[in-house]
Amino acid sequence: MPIVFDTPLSRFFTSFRADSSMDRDLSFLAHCDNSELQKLCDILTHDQNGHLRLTEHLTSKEVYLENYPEQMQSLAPAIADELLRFGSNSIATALRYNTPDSYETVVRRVCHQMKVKVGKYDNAATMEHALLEELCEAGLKSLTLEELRTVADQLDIPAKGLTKQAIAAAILAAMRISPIFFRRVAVSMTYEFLSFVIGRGVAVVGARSLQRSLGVLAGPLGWIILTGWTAWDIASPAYRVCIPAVIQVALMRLELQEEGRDA
Amino acid sequence: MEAREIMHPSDAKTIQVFRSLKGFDLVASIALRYGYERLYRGENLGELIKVTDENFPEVARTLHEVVARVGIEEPRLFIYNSPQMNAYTFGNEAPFVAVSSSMVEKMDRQELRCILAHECGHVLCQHSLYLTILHIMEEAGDLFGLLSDTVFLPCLIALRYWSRCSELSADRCAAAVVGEETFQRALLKLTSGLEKIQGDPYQLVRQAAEYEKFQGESVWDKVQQAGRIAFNTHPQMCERALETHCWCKSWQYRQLIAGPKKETAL
Repeated sequence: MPIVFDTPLSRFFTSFRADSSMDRDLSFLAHCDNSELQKLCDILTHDQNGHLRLTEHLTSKEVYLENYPEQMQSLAPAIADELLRFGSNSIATALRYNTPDSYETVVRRVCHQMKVKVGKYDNAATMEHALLEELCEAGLKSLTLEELRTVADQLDIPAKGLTKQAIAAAILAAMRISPIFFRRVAVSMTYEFLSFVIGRGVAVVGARSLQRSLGVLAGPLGWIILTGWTAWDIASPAYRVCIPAVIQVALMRLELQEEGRDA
Repeated sequence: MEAREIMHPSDAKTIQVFRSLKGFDLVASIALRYGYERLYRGENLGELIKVTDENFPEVARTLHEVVARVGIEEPRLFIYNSPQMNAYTFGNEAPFVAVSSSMVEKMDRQELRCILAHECGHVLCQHSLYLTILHIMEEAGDLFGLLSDTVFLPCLIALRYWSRCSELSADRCAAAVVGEETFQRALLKLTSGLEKIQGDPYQLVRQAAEYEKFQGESVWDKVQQAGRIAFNTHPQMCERALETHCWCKSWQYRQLIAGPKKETAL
């Protein structure tokens, strides 16, 4: 979780940052649908219970007040900046004169966290695609035979008499062949992704706290090391925010590509 | 009106944290119920003038209107004798509002509505409940001196920062009730202490831009100014003017000013 809480101190430091131009991989956000951008914005600013996220900075900004929720395109650069901040290590960001990591780095980090295999030279769009594919696969596996048949029916894939594995394989194969199928499955699976992501996030947090509590036994030296470790850990990317946000961005990119293809 | 519609994000986040701390609400409400609230209730009845429909009909009517708009249970209203224009609110179970005599004399009806709406904003957001903790810390500081200051200083600075943010929420409530122009005019009167204001009612907003520019001239200026206001319970007047001016461009403000409540996205 980023260490930059909305405090006088954080405001003081962030005020030195020069306005940076929008990340190249996120510049398409300015052309996205208003409601989709609003969804992305809400992921960044509010938690599942509708409460403001403690570490968000967006809602205090003038640009947010002026444009939310009617002119979200004007808010796109601020949304992109907030996403990158959530995806970057706050200490590293501060050391780089308040410049967060690139979106490509954030997606790579998310893929790594989600155990999605990506190539060293893959660009952001390719990694997003791999992430969505992985999530769809996981989502499809979690469906019952009946649910899988419904999905197959909706995609016009003949599924009569097929086993659960065979239907899942057929849907995945169709997704890989056709971008239209891919988009339709990806969109319909969004809710599955989120529950999957949250479940994994909890497991990771538990594991880390266990390791930290073991470190306390190492005496004063352990304490010194742990102080730094904990600070670094708190400052590290907020995956519970940036994973759903990256998924939303991936879906929006897919949507826009589809619209372009239709046009 | 609902608290979430007017709350400044920093205020909302801090209250979220307060509520997430187990027992915090309970401690604050007990301290308030048996300590400060009863203490001040006695003091108000003993030393201040209670506003009723008979003795101050116009002031009482103004409060009725504001309370109806904000949608809270009507707090008791008192007037106290002071040449300084000021007002405050306190209490959680039976909140009260106290305004200075100077405020009643120098503000016109709309501006008085603005002041009362600001105080009702505090009631709506339940600021008094959490402000009690700040009071306890301050008084502990008085009792135990250096030790308490050393232990509580970071908390005290954080709570003072929250206190400043809570004022911005109350300012939003005032602006939503009376409109931005009246709000800015009332703020000008509060800043100058004068009964008659000349010129542009938005002059504090422009002054705020000048202040921001000045503050950003060097790191030293930033540090110096941040240090100067670190212990203030209220934001600087120009900051209040600018923050509310920015919020008045928002969709939320337009919805509130438009009147009947519509469904929001969140």
